[in-house]
Amino acid sequence: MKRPITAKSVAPEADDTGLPWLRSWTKVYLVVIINFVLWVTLLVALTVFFS
Amino acid sequence: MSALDFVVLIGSILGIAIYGIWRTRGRRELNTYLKGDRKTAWFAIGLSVMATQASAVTFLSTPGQGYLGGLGFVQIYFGMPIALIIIAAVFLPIFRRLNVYTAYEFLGGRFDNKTRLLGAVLFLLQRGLGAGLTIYAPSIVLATVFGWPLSLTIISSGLVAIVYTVMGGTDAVTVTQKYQIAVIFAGMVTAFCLVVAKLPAGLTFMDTFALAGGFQKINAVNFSTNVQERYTFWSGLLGGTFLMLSYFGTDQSQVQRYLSGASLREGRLGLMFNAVCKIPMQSCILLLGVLIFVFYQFEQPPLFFNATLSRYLAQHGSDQQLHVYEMDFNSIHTEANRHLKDWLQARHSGDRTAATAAFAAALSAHQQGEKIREEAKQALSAVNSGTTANDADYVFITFILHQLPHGVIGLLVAAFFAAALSSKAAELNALGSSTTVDFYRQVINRDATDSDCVIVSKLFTAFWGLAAIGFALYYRLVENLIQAVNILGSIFYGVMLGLFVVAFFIRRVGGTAVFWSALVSQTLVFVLYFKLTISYLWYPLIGCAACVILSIILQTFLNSVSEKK
Repeated sequence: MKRPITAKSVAPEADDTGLPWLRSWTKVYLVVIINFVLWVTLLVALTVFFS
Repeated sequence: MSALDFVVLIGSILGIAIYGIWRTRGRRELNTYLKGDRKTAWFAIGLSVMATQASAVTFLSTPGQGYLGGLGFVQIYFGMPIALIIIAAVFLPIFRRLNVYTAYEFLGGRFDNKTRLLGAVLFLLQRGLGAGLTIYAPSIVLATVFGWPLSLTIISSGLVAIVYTVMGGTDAVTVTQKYQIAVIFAGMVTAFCLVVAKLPAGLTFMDTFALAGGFQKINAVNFSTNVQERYTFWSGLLGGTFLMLSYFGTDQSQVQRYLSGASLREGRLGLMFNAVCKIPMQSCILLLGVLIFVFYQFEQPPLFFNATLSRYLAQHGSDQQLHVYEMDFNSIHTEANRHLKDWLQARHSGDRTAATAAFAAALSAHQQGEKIREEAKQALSAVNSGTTANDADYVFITFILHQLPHGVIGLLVAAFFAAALSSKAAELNALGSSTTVDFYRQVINRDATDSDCVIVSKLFTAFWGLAAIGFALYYRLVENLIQAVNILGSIFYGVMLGLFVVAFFIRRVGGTAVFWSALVSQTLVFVLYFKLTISYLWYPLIGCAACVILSIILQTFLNSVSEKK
């Protein structure tokens, strides 16, 4: 077996997002998920309303 | 196409290609040729990732999908935001820290050379076969538009892609994709605005959606748990997550795009840009198809959107038969149109009963029209059993050629060509670099210098380009090509993802266990594909799960054997 390179063994290069209101990556990912949920909700509403 | 269309088309394509070659001239180092100079900003990465995924097929077929099946196809992208978050959080930091040229190089470091070669072979197999499609799709459009022989458009568009990819490498792809995606978006936005402008004057926004909904075109989300249904919320969310995770996380053509980022931040933001924009973008392209459907309820559509089919029927002694079908189809469409106008009038006057009755009559007439179309398709199959009458891909191009003004036609054909060129270049670049780094430098010439590798990589890029042209010329004989290549990707991607999941998360599993598990899993996926009738979206999940579970079991067995010794 060669060198054990796994998710835990590699530290992130930098953790700053550079975005004014979203300082951590967790917040950025959360915004992405919220955007996804909103779009799916909109598509579900369109499906229900116009079917 | 008018002279103005030709000027717009040739100007857009040549301008982008020459700019890419000029900006990246004289690259000699392997690092910059394959990964770019790692100075790319997040927005350029985001556009590059988007352009690599959005081949000409996307812009040609997706409105056709919307026209025929409504918005339901968008569900295939439901797994994408989750997949891209996982890649940004886990895959990307590891790839960057190890400074790898290809994703499969990482497998060599984590396991061994045979596992690295297996990952590269799986990628080269499915991507090499799929490369033919990205040339074939725009070529058939160009052949239809200009009336040139298909083989000529395949060869010419393939050679253009080879020349500018070979001359510029990854940087040329990234630099030009920004402008290609700009041309694509300009074309799509223009088409969208013109479709809306061409809808009948009395038709409001709500009328348009109510009409489309009545024809089952606004069925965007389906919560059915039937695994045989191709596009559902669940197959999109679960199967789609694994499909997108495999594609964006292990396919070298995508990994190469975000590895060119100036920093981890740029790569991550580029991926998040796609996670946010992809579903709205695909929804809009599908909606464009739905709007074209509504437009053709008030305008006479052709019997076949693929004009070459009509010509084929006429040339093979079925001219009279075709004329009868066309007369019947036009007459039933006029009847449906009259009912829809009654529906609109009743709806605006608030007479619900009359509106319901008129819409039911219009729906019934529409179904009769589809029946006539189906009979005409069967007549075509009777004339030539090897001909497919599936003309969904021709809906958008027919609308463009017949309904849009000159200049815009040239812009949209340029958009198709730009989409084809960008995805083609990214593919060839990835195939060339993976063959060089994972095979040439590992198996053939371990002492090769960077300068040697750049030359060899260019030769491999040209080789894959020529092979793709060969595949495209052969594909003319194959039916249901697009579906076949999509299924091919789904079959291979799952096991590729399994290799990476084991590498990242299961520390105790070694190269031998994962290598044999991947081979067995790939065989299992092949067998299941021929035995089961489930949606192809589930195969990436099955392949990945099988590879991970078998690796753990086999490693446990190998450990117990070595302990006994």
